[in-house]
Amino acid sequence: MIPAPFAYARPTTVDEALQAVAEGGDDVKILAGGQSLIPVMRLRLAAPETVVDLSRVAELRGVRDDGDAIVIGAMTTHADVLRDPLVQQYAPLIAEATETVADRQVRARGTFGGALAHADPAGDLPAVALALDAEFVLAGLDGRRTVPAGEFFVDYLTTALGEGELLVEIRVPKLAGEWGMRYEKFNRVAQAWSIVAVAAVVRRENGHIAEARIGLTNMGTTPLRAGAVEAALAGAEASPEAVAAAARSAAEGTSPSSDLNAQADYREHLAQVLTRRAVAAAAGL
Amino acid sequence: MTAVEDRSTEAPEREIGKARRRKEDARLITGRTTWTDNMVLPGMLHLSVVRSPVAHAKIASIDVSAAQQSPGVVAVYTGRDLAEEQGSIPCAWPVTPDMVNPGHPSVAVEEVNHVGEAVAVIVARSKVAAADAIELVDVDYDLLPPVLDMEEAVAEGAQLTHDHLESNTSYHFVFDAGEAGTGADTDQAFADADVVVSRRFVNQRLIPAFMEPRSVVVQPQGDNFTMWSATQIPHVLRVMLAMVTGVPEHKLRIIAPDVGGGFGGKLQVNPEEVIALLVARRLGKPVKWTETRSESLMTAHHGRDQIQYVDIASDREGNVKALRVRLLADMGAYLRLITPGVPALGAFMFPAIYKFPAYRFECDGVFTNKVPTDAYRGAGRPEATFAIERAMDELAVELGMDALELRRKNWIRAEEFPFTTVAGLEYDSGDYETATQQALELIGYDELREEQRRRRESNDPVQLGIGFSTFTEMCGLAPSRVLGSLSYGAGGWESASIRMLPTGKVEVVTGSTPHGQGHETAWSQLVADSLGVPFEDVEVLHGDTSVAPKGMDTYGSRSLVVGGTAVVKAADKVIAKARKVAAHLLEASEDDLEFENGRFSVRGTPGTGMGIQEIALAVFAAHNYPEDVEPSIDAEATFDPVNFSFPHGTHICAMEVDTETGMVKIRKYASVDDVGTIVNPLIVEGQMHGGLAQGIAQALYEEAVYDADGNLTTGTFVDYLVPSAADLPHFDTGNTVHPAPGNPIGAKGVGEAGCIASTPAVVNAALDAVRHLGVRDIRMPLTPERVWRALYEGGDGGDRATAGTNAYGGASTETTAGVSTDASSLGGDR
Amino acid sequence: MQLENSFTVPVPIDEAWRVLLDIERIAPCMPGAALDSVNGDDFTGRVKVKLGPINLTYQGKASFVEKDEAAHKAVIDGRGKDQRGNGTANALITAQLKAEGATTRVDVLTDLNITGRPAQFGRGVMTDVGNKLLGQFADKLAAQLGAGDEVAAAPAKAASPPAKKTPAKKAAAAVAGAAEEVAASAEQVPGDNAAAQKTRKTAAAAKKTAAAAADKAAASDTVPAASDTAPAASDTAPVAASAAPAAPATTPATTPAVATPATSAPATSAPATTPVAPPVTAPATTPVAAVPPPAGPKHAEPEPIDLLEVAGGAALTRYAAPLAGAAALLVVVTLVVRRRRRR
Repeated sequence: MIPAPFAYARPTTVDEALQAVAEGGDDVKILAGGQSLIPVMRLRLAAPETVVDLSRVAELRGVRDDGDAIVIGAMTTHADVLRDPLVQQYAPLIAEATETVADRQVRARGTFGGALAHADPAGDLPAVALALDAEFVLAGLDGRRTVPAGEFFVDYLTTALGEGELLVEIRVPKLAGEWGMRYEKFNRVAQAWSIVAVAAVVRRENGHIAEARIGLTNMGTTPLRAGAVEAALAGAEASPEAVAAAARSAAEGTSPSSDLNAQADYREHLAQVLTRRAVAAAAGL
Repeated sequence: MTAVEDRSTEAPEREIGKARRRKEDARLITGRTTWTDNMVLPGMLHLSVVRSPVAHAKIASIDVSAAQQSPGVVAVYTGRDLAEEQGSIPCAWPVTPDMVNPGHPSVAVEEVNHVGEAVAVIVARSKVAAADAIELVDVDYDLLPPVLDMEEAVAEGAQLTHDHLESNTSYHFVFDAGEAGTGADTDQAFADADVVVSRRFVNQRLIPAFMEPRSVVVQPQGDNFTMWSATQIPHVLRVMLAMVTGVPEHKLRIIAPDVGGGFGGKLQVNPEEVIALLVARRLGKPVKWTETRSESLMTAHHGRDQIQYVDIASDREGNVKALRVRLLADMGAYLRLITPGVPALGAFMFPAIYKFPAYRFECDGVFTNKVPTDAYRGAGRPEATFAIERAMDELAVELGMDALELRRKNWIRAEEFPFTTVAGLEYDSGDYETATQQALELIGYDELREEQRRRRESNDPVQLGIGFSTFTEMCGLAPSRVLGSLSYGAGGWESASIRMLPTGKVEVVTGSTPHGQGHETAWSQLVADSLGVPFEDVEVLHGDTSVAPKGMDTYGSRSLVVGGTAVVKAADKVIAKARKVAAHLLEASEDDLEFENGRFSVRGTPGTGMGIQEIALAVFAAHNYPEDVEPSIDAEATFDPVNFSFPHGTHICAMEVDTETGMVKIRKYASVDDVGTIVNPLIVEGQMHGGLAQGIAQALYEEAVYDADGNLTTGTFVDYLVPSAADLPHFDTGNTVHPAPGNPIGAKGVGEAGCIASTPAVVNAALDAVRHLGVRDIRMPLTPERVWRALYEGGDGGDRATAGTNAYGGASTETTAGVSTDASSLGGDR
Repeated sequence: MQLENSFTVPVPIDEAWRVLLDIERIAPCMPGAALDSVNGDDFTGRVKVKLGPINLTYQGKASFVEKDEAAHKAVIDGRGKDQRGNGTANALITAQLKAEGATTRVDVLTDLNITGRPAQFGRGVMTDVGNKLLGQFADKLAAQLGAGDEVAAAPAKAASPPAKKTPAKKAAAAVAGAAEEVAASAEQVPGDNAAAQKTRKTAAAAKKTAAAAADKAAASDTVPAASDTAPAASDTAPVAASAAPAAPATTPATTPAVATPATSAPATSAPATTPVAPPVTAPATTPVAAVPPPAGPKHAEPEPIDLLEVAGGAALTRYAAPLAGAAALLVVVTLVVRRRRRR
């Protein structure tokens, strides 16, 4: 398991990193925590010309308070995200989901931004970012742009990141009002990818569900929002029955794959069950 | 000698029975030890293996020229280059006289028969150069249709795995108790029976998944060769390599340094071991090969893989009358060391602990285009235990009886030991009732049944089930004469020697080569008690055919039972020799000497005496010793058991099944095992936990899946799910102790018990949870999807992901896309 | 693994059959590949397959093994090997036409055999990818066949070339940063002369710009093809579309960019948001816009294989799998061979 030869750059600033990417040749891969890229390289399913390692770019690490949002540096490790007080206070859903990512070793090296940029629909964080309406700050040689989560995930392992661009930070809006959250993950062994998972963020008001945002993991080539469920829940009574009724449309508009762990129809079924459970838990039912 | 003097004043604690921490663990766990891949020799070259990406094909051409010119590459060999000298991987167990063995080249010459088969070998100056050159070898394959499904493979007109053979059947092995004179006529018994239950069980293919990948280093030295290998069987390997390659046995030294697990997966003569020896011989330079994890999963032998057709007969009252078992056992593409013998080893265990009057067993060994199967923890016995314990539950359901009651009605009672079974085995000792009672108490049986009732009545989405496995196994492999009668190519004895060093320290040389079991600790405990020396004064040597020249190595829960006994017998000889010297030095009659706590003393004369460690020094000096003996108290012993040992136990699993999702979760697990005398409770506990983990893994997690083209789709640990501690429940373990009468230690063997017993308990528990919902069987592993499908679609949950994926079974998916077409005629997009 | 695609085209069977065998016309339907050599009926080429970090290059050969006019059945056999020894991808594609009155039903059976590392994973990506890719292929093939001999070429020609060329030039300038990549992809296309190459580049750049705009739309699921006689019903992204309420604003604005000649406006505006680094990956739906039926004016037009290459690169980037590569290889290789023969 030895990767094919590659050039290696280890910049210390975002600008240096962008330069290194620009100069890296045809096939440049950006190394964050390496928990997806390195295995693929070792299997020689990828043989990039240049690997740009972001591990020394200090400015990409850490979580800060930015008024109406918290901002998570792309290179913040899962383990650091988990422990971060801002995340725990304003986006506990991220902490809850991050805790289910793979195993301790992976969480120690894997990064928040790396997982999102890899955009594996079976990964846990994309659906969470989608449910939280996170925004992605992308840096290019000519400046930065911000892409909402709904537009960031384009397809299987494909994001809105352009060639030469880096994901530098993720802005997670602080939620105003009484919100409940839940990440309901379904997998066979602890360190495995989700077969299906559901991220639910619910705001209750006067015994009703004022607003619900539901992200689905592994129900298509990108993370998805369960739009039909969200619509059905808006203004619905906060009761198990109402939640169950709404959750029945969780698979609407999804196109899950069939694989060793589950065929598509089973995934569709799971999405409904898990959505019901996640929403009920998030709604405090 | 202070230690000895101290000990003389106080009665030392017995070592046997003490939960000592394993003395070898610090180096094994930290990895600061002699793993084979840690070996670095001057001028050492590195091997990499080019492997077939296809399951079945003729090799049309191989172009190695680019690889040969790659930087750092010394040589590239194809199967044709090695054809004259590579011979065939040996098969030591021709289970029938007419068994068909297609021959197993280490490097494919004309055709490849499974994905991962070696087609060329690269020798390079660095590991990196060897790896880089793999992609430069250009092989053209003329594809042949792969044979993958056993039931299809044995059908009339099936595709052939090997086109030079007449069929895909390697052998047809039969054991018929009526014919053997150990039971009644089976057909008649079925004809006369009130109730017959027939089932087809699939015992899926598993991957041993040992922690340390296989690795081999060969150093040529003139016409001598030293091989380090991560193997369970250095002694067997030496004999086999000598036979295969023609390197004379006395010119070949094999060393198994510390070996990181095997589970039977390293009970093999690997193609790469042959290759490394041949290449080192050709080039006259040391070489190393270490596999990648991908290679390990894909090319190291697999285990299990049987389709079991089981018929069980009883009367209305639940007295069993007959058992009939027919197996299709997947050999894979070739026969490796004991590939054909694994199902034959299980043949005698299907009747288990039950008093069947009639029994017939038939097995077809079937070739398919997959990696060969061979030993994997339990080897034949887990398959048998699964079939019978599942069948007993099915019979209980058919009879409307409690599953435990049916077992109790038919099992061998404590007072009936020794008991000769319908398969002709003499079970040594045990008490199934007591073990079962203890297990019921451990798990809190009555409360669980009550909870089960509540959940059923309230129609709880999470249902609870309780499953049993009252099992026995055949351990202590093996009586050599019995192995001979089964056509096995070697004996089952074990050898040990003890060297008393001048300073009183003790070297124990064992032929049982450990690969993580804790032999060094357990053997030290045995010797400490036997010789009365401190535990710390004992060193255990193993794994090097120059240091431990005789041995049959470690597998089949044999080490303590056979190898440990050899150690004890060697210690007895040391004491006997020392007694003569002691009598001489103490000027007493041998008959007047007592040996206790390591000291010889003259009976009735307190305060006199001499420690055995002092005698060792005296013999080293050899200034004063009896005329008629050699100046040595070292001794050697070889032990060949006359019978197997038969550990048994009762395992109970309480399982929660989420009927909404199909997720199963073990709520509680209790086991009470009788493994005979326990030398080290901590090691026994560890073996139980590890065995349970692997047995539960077969029930719930692990399965080697090939797709319709013969690709192993569970080629990484992402897809081949080995559970971790996070996925397993707390284990409530207990023991009963009925010493084995067949060896002086009284040990029965524990290495495989947990793995053999647990699988059916887990599956029975899941079925017990949902049987009232109409589920009759669920195929292993019990993936949530299978459980869900069994609940809502019937059947056993079916193949995994049959449709819409390459992952299993030749998916045919209809994709529809187009214009000018109404959606209804297309059936929608997928 | 067998993949089946079926569709119906609104032209009589004989007409559909002629179009089917006109590889130059149907080849653009299957994205992505490069030709290395031609030798009689044998041709060799490469297909680059990209999927996230995974990057494979299959090298191989393909040929028509059967052209049964009477039965209206054509069979293409292709075999590829990964350049890094990661295994093989073989495909046998059988296309069978059946008359259904004035229309024709087309059944495409693809028997795919993927070996080596890409096959050693349990995730069902490959089938999904294969299905989608073949689905796109079928969509576009249907559009081609549906266009018939007459080639609804008039509207296509009227709409496509101008629509393309204008923004193409602007976009080419605007996306200078992308030039290298474009050149790289163009390299894979056998170019007969520099001009053709340049044209291809330009068109390619245009295509990419449109793709960038389309990206913004979070992918719409139905995009009319350039030829309005053959609206394509792409099934590639219904999920994303239904999941897009979070960002609905962009959808209406950019959808036309993909679908119609109005492309130029949003296409050129796209660089404003992504001035230097247009997304490398275009959505799968985009290629539909890039399938101007080349039948009539094919020699005058920008080489279809260019568009094919870029579109294919994009599609492959997203869906790529070896099986797709194999299939693409066959068709594309055949296309190029035939064109060369004509010259």
